[in-house]
Amino acid sequence: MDYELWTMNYTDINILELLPQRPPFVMVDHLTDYDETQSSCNLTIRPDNVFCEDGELASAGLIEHIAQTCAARLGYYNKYVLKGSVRLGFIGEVKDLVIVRLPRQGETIETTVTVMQEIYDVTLVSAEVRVGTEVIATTRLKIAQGEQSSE
Amino acid sequence: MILQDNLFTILSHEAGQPAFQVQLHRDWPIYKAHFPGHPITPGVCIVQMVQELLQVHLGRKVSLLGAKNVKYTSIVSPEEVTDLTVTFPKIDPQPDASLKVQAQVSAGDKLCTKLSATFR
Repeated sequence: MDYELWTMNYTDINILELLPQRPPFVMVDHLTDYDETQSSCNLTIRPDNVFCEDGELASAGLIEHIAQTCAARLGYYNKYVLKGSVRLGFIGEVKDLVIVRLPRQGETIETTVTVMQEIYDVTLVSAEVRVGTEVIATTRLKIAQGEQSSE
Repeated sequence: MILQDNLFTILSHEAGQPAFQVQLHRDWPIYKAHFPGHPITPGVCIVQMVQELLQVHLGRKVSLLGAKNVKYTSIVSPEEVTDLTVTFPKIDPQPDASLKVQAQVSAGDKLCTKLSATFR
């Protein structure tokens, strides 16, 4: 990674630059950390989030947030490291998902994904979702990259 | 976001049987966001659809506690397929009152999603 990228403040990046998804289906606010094997994103649960129900982020929103943490990592790599374009991504598999509790409205969750394996266009990660230091969900995901995003 | 009657409609459900025919709505607004120009049913919404259908079958609300495995074997694009079959080969009540559930989502004879999860 070059020096400019090394010293970059990831949270300054508009998340839409890194993701193929568009509002209202955007489930991460910022990339907060990036390196080749580990990346993190955060999300504050707002009442206007499409997955916010009864004051909580629904489980589908939580899993989508984890998947988009992977998407933001791949988007950063494709755009800032490879100087290419963001590509579409799909969940291939969710494995060993444990939801301890759902995040509540007003809380900020931070998710760290750790790359376990990367083979061509398929990435296998383990993920941990936290509110502060409390771990509220863990899982493993397989993400497949597809064609370039049209936006 | 409730998906029933927004993303999908139940076409048929035999009372008491955990099997459903559903139809996806091509004009669901989320398809424009996931992804612009490439409408694809979000994998997480397939999990939620399974959960909502399980609720219809059980006649009560359930929440997802975890999943051993959710495998997406083919993409569900509303441009190619709108009619899906959702079946529940297993709905096993556990001693702790949770339910171990297996579900399959198919388009014709093509399996799209296989899920093995725990609900309560």
